[in-house]
Amino acid sequence: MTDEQPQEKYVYREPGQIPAQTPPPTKVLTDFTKKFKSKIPAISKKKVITLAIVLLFLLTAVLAINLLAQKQQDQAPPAPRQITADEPSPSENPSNAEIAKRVGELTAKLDNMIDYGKKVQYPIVDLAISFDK
Amino acid sequence: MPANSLIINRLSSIVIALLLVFFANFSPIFAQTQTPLEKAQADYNFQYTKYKDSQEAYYTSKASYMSFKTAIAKTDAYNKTKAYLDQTDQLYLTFIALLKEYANSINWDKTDLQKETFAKLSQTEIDYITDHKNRVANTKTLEELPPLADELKTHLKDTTEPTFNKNLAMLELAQVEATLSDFNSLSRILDRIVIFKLRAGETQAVLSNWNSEIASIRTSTEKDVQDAKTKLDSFKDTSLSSGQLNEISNYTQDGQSELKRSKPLFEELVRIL
Repeated sequence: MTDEQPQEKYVYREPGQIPAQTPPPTKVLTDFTKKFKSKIPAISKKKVITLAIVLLFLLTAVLAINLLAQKQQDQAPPAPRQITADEPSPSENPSNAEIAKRVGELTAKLDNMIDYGKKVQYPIVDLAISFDK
Repeated sequence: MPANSLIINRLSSIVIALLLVFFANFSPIFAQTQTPLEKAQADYNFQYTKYKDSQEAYYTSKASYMSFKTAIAKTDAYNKTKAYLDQTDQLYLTFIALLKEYANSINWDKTDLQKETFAKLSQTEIDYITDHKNRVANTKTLEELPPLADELKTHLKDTTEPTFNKNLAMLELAQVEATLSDFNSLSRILDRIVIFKLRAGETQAVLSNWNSEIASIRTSTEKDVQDAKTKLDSFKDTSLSSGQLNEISNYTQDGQSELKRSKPLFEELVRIL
């Protein structure tokens, strides 16, 4: 009689099946998370609270600026003035401040007048596409 | 200890949430500061850079194909040429969008010109170029691309550029007319004030010369505007040659220069008032 060597129990596995010795993925993730957390320096409660307050303040400021900008954008532009033939409206008797403002607006328009021929350059492209020799 | 770490964890989560909300709100502030005209100009500049890049890629692939004549070189030449034509179409579409924003910056209510005419001319070109872009996208072989390029070249030369010239002439004239309207409105108010002050005995030189100077500027500018309108109306087509555009520009540029002469007069008068 020959001694029979004890045989390992054969476990059939489908191709691609994870071998039994490999730890399950969730344990791998848990181990990684624990290692990562142990490397984060301890942060004091006071510092976290201070940071939260600062960020809250900044957020409030940003929201306020956004709201203000939105309000300015939403304001409808003044209706264009209807200019009749020659006579200005009899009711026009603006104050000096209003005159100064209108002069400022007109001079700004004069400064911003565009020479379209120079400013707006028509694109010139090369469309001589050929693959003949 | 465990209670403390729970509090710290919760506070950390709040801090992270605040950070995310902060950055989500921060970028719109900068996005809002660009006007539509500035954005259109930036878009056009960007597309022009992309056009130059695609042109370079086309030249390189063409040289390679002409040298080696392999199937791979041909495929590469086809892809790069197709991308180049597509980018050319895109460049013109962005240019039209830029012209439209220039038109939006003018108050057309103060002119005799119709903004709808301007818009109609632009739309015709948009339709053609969009159709051309689609046809380029639907090509399958390199041989289909040169005829499409020739067709676009002919259309740009014979139709698009003259249409743009007409649009530019309209922009120039509308700008001068709208500014002249504002000038007339303000100068009439100031005329009355100056007359009142002169009757009250004030003797500053600027007051004495105000009426004659403003009248001179008004007369010259109105004549330039009328001459430009007459010239534009005489070219009945929906397009203008470069020479015809220059003829109209000469009048509108003179009108601009006349109006700009009034700036120191207005500023001086405001100082006196």
